[in-house]
Amino acid sequence: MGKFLLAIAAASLSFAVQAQTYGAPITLEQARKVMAAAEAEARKGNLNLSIAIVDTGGHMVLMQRMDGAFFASAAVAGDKAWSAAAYRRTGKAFQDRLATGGAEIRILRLRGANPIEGGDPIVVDGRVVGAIGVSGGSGEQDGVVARAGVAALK
Amino acid sequence: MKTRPELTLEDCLKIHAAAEAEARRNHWNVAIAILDDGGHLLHFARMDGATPANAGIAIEKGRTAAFSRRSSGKWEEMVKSGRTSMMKMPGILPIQGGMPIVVEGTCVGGVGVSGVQSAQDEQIAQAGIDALLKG
Repeated sequence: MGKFLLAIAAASLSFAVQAQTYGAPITLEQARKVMAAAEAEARKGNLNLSIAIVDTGGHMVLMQRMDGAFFASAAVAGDKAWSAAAYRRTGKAFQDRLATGGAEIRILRLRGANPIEGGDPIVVDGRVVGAIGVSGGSGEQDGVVARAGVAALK
Repeated sequence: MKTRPELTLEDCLKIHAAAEAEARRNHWNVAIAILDDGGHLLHFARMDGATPANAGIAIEKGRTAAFSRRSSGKWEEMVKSGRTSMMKMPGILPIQGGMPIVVEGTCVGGVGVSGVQSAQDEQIAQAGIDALLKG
């Protein structure tokens, strides 16, 4: 059943321009660059956030929670990163699709999908090497920080 | 009113740096997790060469130590001594390598390490905690 749902999802959700394959999993050194850029963006906005970076299997490589971030943000950052890695698309893409309503509410049934801005695949040379998840601010704020992190490897 | 110490990100970076240095000194590739006293993640890093499985194991060892206020190795000893019922304790991973962080008599969190032999994992976790406590 799970596989069946995923198959439907893969067929019907290929709407955004995105990297279609995975590359070599992100190294700790690369993850540290992503983290530094994301953290700098968070501090610029005076935000206390959790930031998580996962590899191509959705497994954690690097994570940190800034002082003052609520504890749920730690788990949510990981969830957003997992979703972005697993589906190779941003939380914002799911969020926008969901907001169109109607049958798109089915996105809420996708295993592990997090339809909230702040999760982005990390793409190097056109391939997904991992993903970043940010939580603790508004979705928009989390999204800005996540994209700043991704940009560090471009 | 009672007050209690709380780990900051700066503390976590200090713990992590010392733990990672201990691992690198020995050419060990591990995952290192630091959690608060509720067992919620504060900091995590997985070195290249550590397996994906090490990520989850490190976090669970650290959580065990953080919210049970005793090392995951103590739990392992209990199981080994014959109290196999300890295997069913909720949220407890009874494998050496997770250490509580005790500051001024208060447990403020835990460090969990996974990637090498469990005694070596614990050695890495302890090196991180020692760096914090000696200031």
